[in-house]
Amino acid sequence: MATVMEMPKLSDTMKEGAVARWLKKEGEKVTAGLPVVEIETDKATMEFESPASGTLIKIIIGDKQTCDLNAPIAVIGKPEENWQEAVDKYLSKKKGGASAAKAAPAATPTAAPAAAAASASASASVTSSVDRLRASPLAKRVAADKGIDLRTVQGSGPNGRIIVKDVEILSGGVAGALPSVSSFSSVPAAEMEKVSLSMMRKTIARRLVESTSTAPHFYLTISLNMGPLLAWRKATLAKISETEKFSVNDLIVFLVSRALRKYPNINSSWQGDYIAQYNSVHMGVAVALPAGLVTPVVRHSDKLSLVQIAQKNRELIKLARDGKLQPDDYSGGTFTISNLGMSGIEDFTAIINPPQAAILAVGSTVSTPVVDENGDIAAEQRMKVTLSCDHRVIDGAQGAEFLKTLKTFVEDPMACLFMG
Amino acid sequence: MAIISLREALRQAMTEEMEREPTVFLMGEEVGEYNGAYKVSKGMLQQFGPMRVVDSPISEAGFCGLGVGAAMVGMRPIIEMMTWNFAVQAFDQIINHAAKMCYMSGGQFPIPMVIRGPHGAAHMLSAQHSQCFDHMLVNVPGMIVISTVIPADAKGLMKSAIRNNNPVCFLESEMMYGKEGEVPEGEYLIPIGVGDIKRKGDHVTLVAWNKMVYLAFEVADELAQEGIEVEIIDPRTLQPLDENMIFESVRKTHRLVVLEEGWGISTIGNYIVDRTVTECFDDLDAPPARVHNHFVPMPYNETLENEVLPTKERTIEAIKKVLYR
Amino acid sequence: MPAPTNAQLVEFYKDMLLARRFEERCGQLYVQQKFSGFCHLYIGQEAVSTGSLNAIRKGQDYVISGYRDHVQPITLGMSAREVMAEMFGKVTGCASGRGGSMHMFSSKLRYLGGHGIVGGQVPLAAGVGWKIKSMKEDLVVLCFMGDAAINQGQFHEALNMAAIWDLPCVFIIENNLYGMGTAISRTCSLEVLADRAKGYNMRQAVVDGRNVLNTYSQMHDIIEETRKTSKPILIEMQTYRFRGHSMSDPQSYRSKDEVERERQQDCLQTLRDHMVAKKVATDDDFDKWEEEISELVEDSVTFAEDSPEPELHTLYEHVLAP
Repeated sequence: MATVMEMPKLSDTMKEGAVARWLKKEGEKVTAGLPVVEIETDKATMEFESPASGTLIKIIIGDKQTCDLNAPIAVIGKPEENWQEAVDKYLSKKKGGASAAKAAPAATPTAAPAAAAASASASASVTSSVDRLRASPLAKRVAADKGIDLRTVQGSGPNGRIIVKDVEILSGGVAGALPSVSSFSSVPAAEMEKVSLSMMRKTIARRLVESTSTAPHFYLTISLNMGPLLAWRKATLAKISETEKFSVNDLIVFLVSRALRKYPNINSSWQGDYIAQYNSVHMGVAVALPAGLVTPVVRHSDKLSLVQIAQKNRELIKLARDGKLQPDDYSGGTFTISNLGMSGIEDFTAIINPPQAAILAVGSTVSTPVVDENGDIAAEQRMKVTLSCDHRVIDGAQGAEFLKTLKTFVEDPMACLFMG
Repeated sequence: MAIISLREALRQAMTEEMEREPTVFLMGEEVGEYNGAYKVSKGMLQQFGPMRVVDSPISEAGFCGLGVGAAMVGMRPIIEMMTWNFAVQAFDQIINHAAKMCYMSGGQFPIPMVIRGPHGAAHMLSAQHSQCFDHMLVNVPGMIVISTVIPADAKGLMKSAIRNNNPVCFLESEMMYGKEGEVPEGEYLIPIGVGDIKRKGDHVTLVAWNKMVYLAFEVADELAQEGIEVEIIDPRTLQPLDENMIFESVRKTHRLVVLEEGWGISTIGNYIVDRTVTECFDDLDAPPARVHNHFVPMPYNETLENEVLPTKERTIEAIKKVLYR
Repeated sequence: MPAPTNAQLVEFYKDMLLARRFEERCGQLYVQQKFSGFCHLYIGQEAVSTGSLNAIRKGQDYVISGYRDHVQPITLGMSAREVMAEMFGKVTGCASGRGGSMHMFSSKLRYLGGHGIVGGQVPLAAGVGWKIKSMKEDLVVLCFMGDAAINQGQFHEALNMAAIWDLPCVFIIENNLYGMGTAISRTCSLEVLADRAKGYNMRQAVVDGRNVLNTYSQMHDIIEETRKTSKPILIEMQTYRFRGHSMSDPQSYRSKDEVERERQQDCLQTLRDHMVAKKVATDDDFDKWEEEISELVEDSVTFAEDSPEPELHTLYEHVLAP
């Protein structure tokens, strides 16, 4: 009897899946346990093994096509077997009654090299944290359906219980109560092009709406004199090997990590009925990709050397660009750095990556006229950084303290040795 | 549609069934010459004669047992209890005999019998005349339990009860015999075990039966002014219970309140809540709530009695609680 | 009424012998734990059943009883197999294994149980009487009860209604002198239990339940009178049980001498002596019947043991009738 292969659920928050690429063609032999297809989830693209040995007699969901979880994507069996029969039987057993084979929904072309979406939540810690939350069964279900992390939801019920209206506010609709968002006068169809949503785009949209609507953001900007640090870097690069090279961003990751060690109240997370202050720094480094933004995580960045950080960053960026980030690579971050300096942006405000409590936006280094003690004007290499803070966790004075220390580390790196 | 009182509806049902089937007879205290303690059987003695409308001695266990015996050998008795409070005397016959006979005999002796009468508080009748018995009766296998005071429901369900081949405990209410309602013209039956959505609403499911239905409407009307729409589910038959109707409603409203007359310890409301939490756990936004009597024997004093019974205020409070208002 | 024929005498004897051996066998099986629960034996009271139930129209008149009910259905015509299978709780029992020792039923034979609540069957009998009267049938209902049942409230209520409404009920008090372990003289203020009838202005009689021929002839007349007049009657049937109230009764409440005295009046022996004197049967006949009955009883045990248990999936059947 032929085996029907289903779209597998490869992550907690996966709601539908796309076939990125079949590794075998129809008619080819496949072996149970060996990879036969690449599946794009909401977070990454992963290889998936064949459930059976035999011939891949039918591919139902082709390259770049999407379908619901557990929908049939292929049939494996003997070359002469009837794949449609197998699918019909399989579906009717599932539904407990006759039903037509589920047709694949219209293919949603995904952007070339589908890449992981930004996400800092490790699946393991999500389930255990959610269990500690108080939420009505309905709220839990609706949150699960909409892929909302309950740790990011403020509960308005007794004892902080999350009730369904708390969750519905986030997803932008209380059933029947609020007017629908699309009350704009619609743009005539001829004047626009519909861009379909990739897995990553959907996830970015959802998570950042969550972030801005639940975490009360405020922003602190500070200007840093990069002169001495840049000079030191230039001199050092000349003396070290290729593999030891480090970028300005690597330097920033290093210095911010060391600064965060002294400020666990910044390296924190709002948990509903308590604040988690993390013992280690796991630095998320935002990487821009054609399809969107990903934030791979350098684990224990506060304990790594500059060179180790540089190597790790290079590794992660390559994986990100190749679309090969695994869930472990982008989960568990405690702080994020987003650097648009290369694009010439002088300063900007970034949106916090939930459930973290802060994010640092790094701008470009600009030659800036400054007034020195004597009242003379000189040119300095100055860089602006802006810290976005979740006011539930961090107050203005605390954020300011942290930035002051960071400024010290950046402008006088030797200070790290004593205070880092 | 005719507009008739509850007592008239019950009388019509019994009369129609007695005209249709000669083995149906009515027995109870004062049902004949007195025309019924609550005038439910008014005129029936004249119509059917003393072998079919029978004045009994004050012997509840005796005449209820007589009904069971007659049912065993092919008759279809309607045994009237002047009030279910007196039926306690007959509980041996109802529970040990009527309910168990069919099962104990391996199906040889079904008991096609209706035991009917009013129950619950009836305005200043004090402790021994004011108890609710539905909660106890539903917990005995082998019996059907119906509780309704809406004329249209009562007529259709009484006819079904008389035609059913099992013991049916039919619970009415003294206070409601005079209350009128619309009743369809012509013959109709309401199936046993099917509830009724008395009022549609999206915000909370309120389950109520017997005279609590009227209180439910009062509550719903008042809350509607605040924009809260209450869905009233009247199960009508309590055993077997139309639980699917309740589940469907809760899946829509996500909130459940049960409004029941009677003390709150082992109640039908407890059962409804248990079943709903089990079957609709993921649909609930708040723990279900119940409104019931205070756990005291019914006092004579009117103010105290009104406080013991479920009140509009306590019902509204319970509804608002499940709405987090 | 004419005296019973020889054939009837043989029938009576075999019926009582079957009752005796059947009950003895039940006692043995119970202590061997072949079945459990309650087991109330009729040993010593056979004449009451054989004498009364042969005086009615079997299968037409109704009979209802308390829980000492193994023997009466057999006299009415039920196979020993069905009773034994019910003792064993098998699906082939007369109540499909749902009733057990105290709840023998047969709608075909009009045996309405087999009831476990003392006195609970008495209003039921009134209901049957009501039906007979309503439907104007030429029938009676016999209602057996123990002596202590006459103290139960429902007994009074039922007899009162039977009296005021002229219901054709023959209420039979099987007075074996003890309500479980309590002598009836300690719980009833009357010396003659049948005098309860005076309270209802009802016919009454005292019948000899130790001699089946007396039982039969007296019951015959009483039943026909009841059938004709449709007036109820309360009968005190004088009898005795040789064993305890049930299997778990150590009988500390009565003397061994008393039991011994009663055994001298064993109804089986009394009839046998009469039949021998009248040359209706010889010792060889009695031996032959002994063997026959013994086989019949053994057959009922084998049948019961080999019968299947009710299946679990039928658990909910008969809770409610269709």
